[in-house]
Amino acid sequence: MNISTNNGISEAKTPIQPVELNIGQDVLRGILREPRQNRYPNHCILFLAGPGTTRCGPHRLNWEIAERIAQLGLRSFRFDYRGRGESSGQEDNLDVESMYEDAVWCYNALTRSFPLLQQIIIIAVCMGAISGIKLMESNPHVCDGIFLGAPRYIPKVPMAEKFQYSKYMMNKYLAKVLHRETWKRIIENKVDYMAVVRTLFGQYQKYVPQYRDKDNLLNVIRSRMTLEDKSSNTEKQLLFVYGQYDPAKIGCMRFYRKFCKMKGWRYKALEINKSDRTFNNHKAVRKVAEIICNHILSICS
Amino acid sequence: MYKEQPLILTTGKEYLYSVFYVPHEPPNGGKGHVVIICPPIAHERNNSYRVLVHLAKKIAIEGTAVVRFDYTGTGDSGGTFADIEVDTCIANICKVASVMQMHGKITRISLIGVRLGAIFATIASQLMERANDLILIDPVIDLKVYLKELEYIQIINRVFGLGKNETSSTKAQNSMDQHQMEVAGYSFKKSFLEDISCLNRCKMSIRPEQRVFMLFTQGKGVVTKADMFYDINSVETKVLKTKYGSFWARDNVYEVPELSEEIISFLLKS
Repeated sequence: MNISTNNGISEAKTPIQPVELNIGQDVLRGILREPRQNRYPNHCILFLAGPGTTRCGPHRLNWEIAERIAQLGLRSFRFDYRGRGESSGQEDNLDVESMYEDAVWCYNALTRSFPLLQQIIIIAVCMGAISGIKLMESNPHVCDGIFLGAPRYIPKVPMAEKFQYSKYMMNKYLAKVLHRETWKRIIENKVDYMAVVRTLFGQYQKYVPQYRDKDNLLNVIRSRMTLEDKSSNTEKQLLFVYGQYDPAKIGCMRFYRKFCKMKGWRYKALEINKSDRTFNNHKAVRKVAEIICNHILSICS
Repeated sequence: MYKEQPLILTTGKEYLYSVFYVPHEPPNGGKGHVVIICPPIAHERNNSYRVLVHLAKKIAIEGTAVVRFDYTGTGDSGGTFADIEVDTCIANICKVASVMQMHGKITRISLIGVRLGAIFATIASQLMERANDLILIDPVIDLKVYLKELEYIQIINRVFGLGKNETSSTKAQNSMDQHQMEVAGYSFKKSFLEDISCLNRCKMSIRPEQRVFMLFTQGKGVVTKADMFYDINSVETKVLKTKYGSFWARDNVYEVPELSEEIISFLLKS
């Protein structure tokens, strides 16, 4: 199974090449971004998106990074998981296991299609980080990972359930976190209160029911750690990127620092932006893309 | 049943990513008929993406060729979001239609537009040589309401992330940028928003030979408001009650079978 870049018809030579990979009855669709001049033929970037977005990433984060690194002379590949974007498959079947399977498929396709490839750098967003870590564990070609907003765990009890039986607690919580004007509008009934609540927690609960019966991520990762491999492998490096006010920041940074220490990998954390996440608006995305490109250049050179 | 063929089109300096769904054996009525799906933009595009993919596949299964594409500055197409203009979006639709006509004997073109995509599709249909059908799904009728919705989403997203409230320095920074306005995380060009506002003030014209079908998922109230914008006496309208309401407003809706059925039955009528 190789990457065939002749699937697309184009009027002229364009930098992006649509790609199709067959996994059983399903088809994974992705985009191979080739630079005009490939200055680093031994390297390739593999994007692992989060489960809620397409291959472009939130606010086109992946696209932005791919374009910038293409200008630096690096090839990159981004794809839609089965059940998302343009790939076939059932939407409900997407979970951590299927995401990892798709990532492995893409990894194998890249290594077979480009024989000169020696190193694949993973850029993962949110839960794509889980597949990224597993790929790093099990493959010699993957030595570097850049994880944006990587989660530590998926809570078994979502926040909404703590509040749904207590409107008083909900009001207290919302009054604390909502902008004064928004809260004022809610009190004056200019904004539908329940719509705000539903949207807030509807989003949160979207992935929790799916994973509620599964172990929390910490255990998922631990169960897959090859603890026998305790030899220090300082060739592998993880970079974690978080927004300054990302609520998962502290817990995640501690967790992954411990994890890297256990594996003997190098660990680096980078806190950027004053925004909540690193990719919730276009300005933040452009800033993050610039920083990541500089980091990738330092890896490749 | 059908073949999915990505198409990369060049538009000046940028490229346009599109996907062409070609039925293997179209029935007699299907030959020469192409449906072009004009998506919405910003978060509505992300929310409705998978729904439109499924819609395109279902139409292709019925034997009609379909094209889906990303506007310049969105999705996999070239360009940045901040460079989006109304003219560019309309030109993109016209480009896709002209490429279709160049590559085959096209006797009928149907445009399906969602939200702002419906506005673009309506205008593009006036400029194209051939645009037989217009299917408009929840067209944006009031720009002020549209911007308010974006603002609320911005607030809610910030709250969902348990983030700090917008500080006075951030507000000042946003207002300092004269050419751009950030709403819900998207950097809109001010001229783009002004152009939409201008469009909003005049009634959309429809060609007499065009068949127009307007679908509303937001409820009956919107239909009466649509009269200010479209001459709804001359078009077929329907309020669609689905399990999820407005699919473009929610990010966990992947398929709307009722929508596909209505659209396919309209397309097959003629």
